[in-house]
Amino acid sequence: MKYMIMTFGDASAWDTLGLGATEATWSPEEVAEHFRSMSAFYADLAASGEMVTGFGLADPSHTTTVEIRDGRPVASDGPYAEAKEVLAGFGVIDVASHDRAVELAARFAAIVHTRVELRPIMDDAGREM
Amino acid sequence: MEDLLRELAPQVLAALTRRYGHFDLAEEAVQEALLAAATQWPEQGMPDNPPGWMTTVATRRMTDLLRSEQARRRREQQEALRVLPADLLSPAADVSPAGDADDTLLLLFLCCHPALNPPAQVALTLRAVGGLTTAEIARALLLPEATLAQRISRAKKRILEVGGRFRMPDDRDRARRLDVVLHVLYLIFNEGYTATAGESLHRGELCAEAIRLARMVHRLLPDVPEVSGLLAEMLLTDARRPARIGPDGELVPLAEQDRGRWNRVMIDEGIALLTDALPRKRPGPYQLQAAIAAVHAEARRFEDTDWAQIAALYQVLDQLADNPVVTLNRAVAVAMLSGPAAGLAVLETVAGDQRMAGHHRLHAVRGHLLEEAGERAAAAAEYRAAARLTTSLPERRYLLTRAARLDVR
Repeated sequence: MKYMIMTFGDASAWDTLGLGATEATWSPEEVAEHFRSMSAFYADLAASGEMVTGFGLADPSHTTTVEIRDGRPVASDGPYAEAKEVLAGFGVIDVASHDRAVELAARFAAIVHTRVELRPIMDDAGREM
Repeated sequence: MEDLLRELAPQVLAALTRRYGHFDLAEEAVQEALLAAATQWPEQGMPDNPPGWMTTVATRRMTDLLRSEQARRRREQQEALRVLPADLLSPAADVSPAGDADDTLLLLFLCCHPALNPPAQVALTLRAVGGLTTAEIARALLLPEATLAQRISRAKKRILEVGGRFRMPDDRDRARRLDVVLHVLYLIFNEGYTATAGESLHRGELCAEAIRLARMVHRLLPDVPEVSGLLAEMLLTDARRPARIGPDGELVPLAEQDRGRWNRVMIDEGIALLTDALPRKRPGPYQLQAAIAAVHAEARRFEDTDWAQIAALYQVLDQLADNPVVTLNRAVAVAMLSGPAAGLAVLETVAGDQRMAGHHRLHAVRGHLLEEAGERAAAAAEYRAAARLTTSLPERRYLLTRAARLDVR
């Protein structure tokens, strides 16, 4: 079963590389450690055959909103996150059980020092009733 | 040519594993021989002796792999531990030199090793026994090829770690291990059968593959009733595939399917298998599920369904399986037989079951029974609850359509 792991961050804290805490500024060692454990996490996932895909997202100032107005597509800049929590990145995993998905999400949460969300991905398979 | 290659793959793999040990390397060698055949045969013509050709090419590749594996180990261990020739030429003394047929069964036991989780068992079985390429399996399972390749290589490593051997499990273990094999084939079948729009072409091939492998096991173990049961269930279920999806990719319930589109050849074969297997001893779950599918198949119209027999079969299955989903199905049959109130009474016996918590099927069935009872608003609410809980897009669409239909009128 496939799940999406989403990680959220306070965009204003990204300037100081502190993904979670607003005030925190990470020491160079902490930053290095963060990137090391992040790569290790991705490498483990790839090696176990559970990784489908994963990406980090650009700063929210790059956001473009696209909507249909009077039947025509209109693109505009923003919204600029007033929200404390914006989507920072996501990964898609394919695992044997829900428990395994939670285990991986927990490991990821410990690395990014912030809350992560886990949601099942809808399957295009179904059983007639 | 493809059929021939896929038939040959497990035989050559078994021969190599028997001769050299090293299941993981042998699997790689056969995969490369398959690729070589797939590219060379169409251009240069089919060799006179295809099995011989495959074995030669795979053996040559195997020798290369063994050589580099030895070199790697030498580097790693710096002669601290010698690779004994016995490790490389290891037909264990207790393994009888059996025919190709038994070899294929041994391969299945190895690929469905209990130390692997089901996704790994499925992937390895499709490649090593099914002779599918990693790319084909990835496409069928809707996964990136790299993910599948890693999953297969991790599975092979795991088998080595736990000391999985290319030999028949002990009598004590054999029935349990066969259950795992049958379950893996069932998972492969389901993966294909439940597919709907878009990718269903590739995924549908998984049904054909599962049936092919089940046929193979049935040829090898013709006297094991549950093997016949599984094959019969697959055939009887797959027979309905042409009728289960509507023109816009929507799920069509059993009650509304065009039975003229059911595959009668498959139905006849399934029923014949079942007729042969059932009288032998107390039927297991696959035979019972096949028997239920057979009762549906025998009804030319939905109204002709023998619900008394279906309810009775679910009753037996329910006692056998301790699976609340079976009880839900029994509730539907009981409702068709004795009215929705009786069905709802059966359903309430599992409503509090912990395993049903958050399960969409409980709400879907309750919605159906309430609809039958004429309680439209309550039924719509149950369908919507089920729609929120399912993680299947076509099921959600079906359930929301049912709910909307109750609102309008």
